[in-house]
Amino acid sequence: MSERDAKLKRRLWTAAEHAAPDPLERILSACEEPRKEEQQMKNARTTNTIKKRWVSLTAAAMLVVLVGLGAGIQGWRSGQTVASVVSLDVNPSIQLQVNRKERVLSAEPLNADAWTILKDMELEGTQLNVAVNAIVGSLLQNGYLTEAGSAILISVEDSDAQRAGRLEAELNQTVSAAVEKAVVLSQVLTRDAGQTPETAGVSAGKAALVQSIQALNGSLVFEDLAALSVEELWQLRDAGAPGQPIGMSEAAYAAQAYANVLETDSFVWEADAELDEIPAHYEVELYQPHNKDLKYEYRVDAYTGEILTGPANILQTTGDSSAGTPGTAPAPSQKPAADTAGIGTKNLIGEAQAKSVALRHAGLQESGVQYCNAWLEYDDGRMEHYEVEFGTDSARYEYEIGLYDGAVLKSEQKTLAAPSAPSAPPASSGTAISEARAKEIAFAHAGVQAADTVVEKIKLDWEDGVQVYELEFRTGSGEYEYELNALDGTVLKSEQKTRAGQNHSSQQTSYIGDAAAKAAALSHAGVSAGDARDMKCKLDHDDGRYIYEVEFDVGAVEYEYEIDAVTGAVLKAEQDT
Amino acid sequence: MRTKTASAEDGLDRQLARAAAGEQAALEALYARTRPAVYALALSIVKNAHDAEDVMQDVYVRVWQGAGNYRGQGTPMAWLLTVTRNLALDCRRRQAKLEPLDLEGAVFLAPAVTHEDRVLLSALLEGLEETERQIVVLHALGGLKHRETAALLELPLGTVLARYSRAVKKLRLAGKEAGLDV
Repeated sequence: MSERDAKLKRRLWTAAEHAAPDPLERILSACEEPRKEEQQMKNARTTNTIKKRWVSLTAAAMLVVLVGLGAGIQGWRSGQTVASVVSLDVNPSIQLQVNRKERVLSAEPLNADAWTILKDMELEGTQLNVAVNAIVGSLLQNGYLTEAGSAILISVEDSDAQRAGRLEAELNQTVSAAVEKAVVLSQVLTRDAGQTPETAGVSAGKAALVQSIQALNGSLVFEDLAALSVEELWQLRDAGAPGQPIGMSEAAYAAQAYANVLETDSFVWEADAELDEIPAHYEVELYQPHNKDLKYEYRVDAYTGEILTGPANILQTTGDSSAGTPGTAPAPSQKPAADTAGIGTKNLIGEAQAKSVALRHAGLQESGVQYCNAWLEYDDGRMEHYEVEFGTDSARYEYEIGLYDGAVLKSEQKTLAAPSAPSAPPASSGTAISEARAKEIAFAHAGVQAADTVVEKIKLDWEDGVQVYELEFRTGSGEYEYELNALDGTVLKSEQKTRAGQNHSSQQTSYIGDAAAKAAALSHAGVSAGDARDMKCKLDHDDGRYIYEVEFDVGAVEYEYEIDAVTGAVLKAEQDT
Repeated sequence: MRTKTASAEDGLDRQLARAAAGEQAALEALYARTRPAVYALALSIVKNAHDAEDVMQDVYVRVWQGAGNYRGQGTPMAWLLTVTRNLALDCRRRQAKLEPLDLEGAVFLAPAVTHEDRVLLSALLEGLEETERQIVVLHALGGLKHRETAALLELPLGTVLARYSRAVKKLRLAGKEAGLDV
């Protein structure tokens, strides 16, 4: 290690040491509780108490707990001879040592994934088949073996070929009964249990599989192969082991790099090996946890890491400008086709720009707010807009910003505390301003002229002990909702919704307009405009197309319509009495 | 000849064994030596100072309660950081929403943090992508060998080497831009 490297490491260590909190006292205090082993001994002697979190495990796992506690850990420590070693490999690798009576002497996680699978389970002292059932239950709970094509390898290592064969058959049957989709593979290694040369983190069974692949291709390195899952190894052997596959993590990395999402933490991946196909590849899906319906699919060459198919730059690519316009683009499928650009190919403005637009609209700068977060908001698997939230000492702001043009689609401002004395009894502390004055204040705040507005609602109400005016009005270009302190006219909340699509000038499709949408709904309902009350009409974006949502009441009946914004077709009609 | 790293690991081994035997002083010594790496790894995964502190506490309580489970496979540090990583991943799965890391408002509040610390921690926690960050923490702070890091993260060794090298370049560049000689 060079002096320069050592210096960097020292500086990093010091920085981390300076920043790390020092919860030693809390730790020592927590450690004063009975140690786990002591607690288990106590449980074994007195009661079969089951920890709460075990309740959700499978019946088999519970049985393990009960049997384990019943048997105590005496057996574990009695030094009985190991008769067989059973290993279970998926990607988690677990090795069980069992005695002649098929009782588990030890259960060892051989890699980090296995640690998660085995945690909280006390398998020592249980019957082998019960332990294996519990492990398979935990594997399933943790998302392993649930996909078709996934594989589990059971290996029995024993010098007694007959016993090994019987165990293998029994375990194969046990595991096959527990998993629905996964392939169950099993093998016998006839040799003295535990005599396989120890290789860190690799079970004897997996080692044997790796060696069988090395026999096909001597240039492959044991450790590199052992890092692969059983499913990959099995496919690799079937394919004649032409080379060293890059592995799922590396394939996922290649896909993320191609998608240009490495610098964001918001995407997760799932990968599946297809090494026995031509060309051998990994299938990688990238998606955001809050929006699992929209997955980007990639095929990554299994040996070179080259992207075979899949969309590049899924967030900010310059891509195909003809990818579609709102209202006219074909609705994207929930899963964009692997080799098409899908959505996200137009020029998104980016989160930073969305923040900037929202802050500017609010007359604030990023340095002047306590926090400012922006993210892409999805609906039905489609990007809808940027959501921007920020706050100051006195107000919270929420914005919806257009994906491509940075238009302010919606703005909402909520004042945190009314400036009037909050403890004063609201009802007797003053006289409410007039409706006319409330309108003046709201119009001025919104920057609109009274002559251009249609007030749809104005109502004096109580909100959190404060008398407020609730106003809703609209102009030719937007809809507004306000909440004013009725005593002093302070704007407590303002929401502005610009009609979606108004600013997509270059891509604008003409929509039928509010009036036609309302007429279409009224006509469908067989109602005249004069009979409809509380008519609302809103242009919205749903399932890849623009629609008008129309709502109105006639008598005690509420009507809800969705009207295609381009064709005027009634897409949905609901009546509720 | 024994290397410096090996003797350090030997020391950890003994401390772990003594902690497992119920010796509180050994746990305290282990804590003092490993706290920066454990915290940095937890923070780099959960991205929240409070959660990272909780993970850190859980790690040492887990060590105390279950140190007997360490049976000499791999080094004690690799084992400890594996425990940290698993608990941190568990914690992250429980988080309702992955918020951006608040360095200024949370991590940098510790009075000991210097300007230089800020530069390096920002570069580490904000300037690197997730895998790079974990590789740097495991190797540079935890002292793990690259092969151990590869095994822990289940990545090919070549990938770990390449990404470590790239990450170090990024850290040096960030340091240079801030006028630091690193």
